Formats: sequence, structure tokens, C-alpha cells
Amino acid sequence: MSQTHEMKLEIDAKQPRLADAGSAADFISLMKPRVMSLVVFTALIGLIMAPVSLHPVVAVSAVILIAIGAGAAAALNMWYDADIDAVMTRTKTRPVPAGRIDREEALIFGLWLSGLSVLSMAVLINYTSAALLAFTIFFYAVIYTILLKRRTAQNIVIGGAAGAFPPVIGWVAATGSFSIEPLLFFLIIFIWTPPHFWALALVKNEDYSAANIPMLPVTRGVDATVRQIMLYTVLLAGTVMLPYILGFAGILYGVGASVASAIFVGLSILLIASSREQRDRIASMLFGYSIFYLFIVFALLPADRLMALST
Amino acid sequence: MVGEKDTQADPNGWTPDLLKQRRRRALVMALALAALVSMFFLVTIVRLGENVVNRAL
Repeated sequence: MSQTHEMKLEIDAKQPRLADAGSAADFISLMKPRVMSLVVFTALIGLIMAPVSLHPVVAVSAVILIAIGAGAAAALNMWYDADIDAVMTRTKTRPVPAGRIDREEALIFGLWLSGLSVLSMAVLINYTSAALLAFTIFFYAVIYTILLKRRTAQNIVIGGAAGAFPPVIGWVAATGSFSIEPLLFFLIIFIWTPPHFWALALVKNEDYSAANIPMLPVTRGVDATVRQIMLYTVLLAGTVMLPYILGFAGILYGVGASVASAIFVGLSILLIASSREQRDRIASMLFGYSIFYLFIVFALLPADRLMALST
Repeated sequence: MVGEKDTQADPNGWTPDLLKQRRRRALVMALALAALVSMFFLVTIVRLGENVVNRAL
């Protein structure tokens, strides 16, 4: 080894790594707290709607562990996607591409949280929910992030399954088994995911092109994407009615979900009819509304149950 | 001032700002660990409580 190289190694060893500059807030943002809030909410609904009531302490623990699992998957996603995150304006300020946390540290953080959440779920809640949580993390980090995201325009269609699992985990945490109801929750989020992300992809089309991610607007163009959004919102409008049709939810849910879906479909029609100048604004509106829509549909389920109990 | 902070850095390159950041991070980690331990304790008590009530006499 040359003397210069030895000297450089010595200097490097004395310098704190750039990663040491990462604050607690950076580590929290590594867990994508906004995505986590939707995960927590849908998992909570899965728990509440289950026919078995858990002790509040156990229920809160289950939701916290699901949230940690979601955070772990997000950290692993940020570890793998650091290169493309650095190219996109929406993501370049994230802790890894911005250089506040290094990739290795994000990976270790993600792996630790994965192990912690899954093992704690197994010990404190039940093995089935722990296995499901482990599979969800694996699906998001490996199937979606590593295998699908950069390869196919169907990335978000298949990958959407990862985001659809939390209410199922919530249900299984309470009951220890599967049934038709959590599968309906799964289906609703699964079909909701493509129009939600494609609306975002329309607005951030240049970003995705620059990062070479084959999102639908990049590979098939804007017109094909808005048609697909329309198709999925119509399909979603039918799917959200299944809990009502199958008698799992009552009239409050049926009416509320219908109105919410009508607005969603209306916005997608508006998107198809929009001019090139208006398209970004309407796509942005559709993206925002899709979040509100999912919140409303899932909030209506316990509200409807509460109404049925009080009458 | 960046220049002043650099001059206060210790031989290992830790500036006061970085040290403060690290202390804050360690504190958050300690709190998170305490919360986790409390969660394990509480769930154990709840589960134990159920089992104590339901045990065969």
C-alpha cells in the first residue's frame, strides 16, 4: 500500500462519516411518515371492523408494529432507489440523495426495523399477522422496488398489493385468520392504487422520464394513461360497493361510497376531456382527491357499523 | 459561522453542531427504546392478566 493511500485512510478514519450528520427527523422521514399515516389508518380500520375485539393495549401495539413495518419497507425503498430519487425533483431532497444519511445506513435501518416489527408482531400479537407483515415488507422492498419498478409499466398495478395489505394485517391481528371482508379491503386499495399513482405520474411525467422509470405516461403516453385512470376509477366504483352488496356494510356506507366514487369518476372524465394546458392541474386535483377518497371510504365502514349499533 | 465552528472541531472531526445532532438522535433512540420496552411490558401484563383469570383451578 502506498504511503499516500495510507495517509488518506488515516484521514478518512478521523472524519465523521457524512451519515453521522443525519438527524432524528431525517430517520423519521426515511420511513415516509405520510404514506405511513394511510397505512396506520387502514390497518386500524381492519382492526376495528374485525368481529373479535382486542384489548386496547394490544390493538394499539399491533397498529404501531404495522407502522414500523411500513417504515422499514420505506427505508429499504429509499436505500435501493437513492440513485433515481436523486434525479427526480419530488424526491431529491430525501435524506439519502441529499446526503444526510448514507445508503448503507438506510439499508441497516430498514433491515433492523423489519426484523423488529415482524418479531415483535409474532411475540406480541400472533404468528399469522407477523408472517403477513413480513411478506408485505418483502413485497414492497423486493417485488415492487427491486424487481418491478424499473422494469415494467405495470409496476404500480402489481406493486400496489403491498399497500393493500395493512387492513388485512389489522384484521388478522385481531382474529388470527382470514375471511372475505379483509380481502374486500385489500381489493379496494389494490384497485385504487393505479389511478392514484398514475395521476401523480402525469404531473411528474418529466421526472419519471428523466429517471428512466417506465411509468405508464412515459411508456404509453398521456392519452393512454388518462384512459386507464378512467377505467380503473369505474372498476373501483364497482369494487367499493362490494361490502354493501355482500351485506358487510349498510346504507350509510353504500350511499357515502357511491357519492365519493361518483366524484372520483367525474374527475377522471374531466381529466380525459381536459386540454393539454389544464391536464396537470386536473391530474393534481385527482391525485389529491384519491387520498381523500380512500380515507372517506374506509372511514365510512366503522361509521356505518356505529350507526347500525345505535339504531 | 461555519468557519468558527470548524475551528472548534475536535481531533476526530466532530463539530459542536454534529455532536449536538448526535446527542439529539441518541435521545430519540433512547425514548423509542423505552417506548418499545413499555409496549412489551404492557402487552405481557394484559396477556398474563387474561391467562391468570382463565387458568384452571
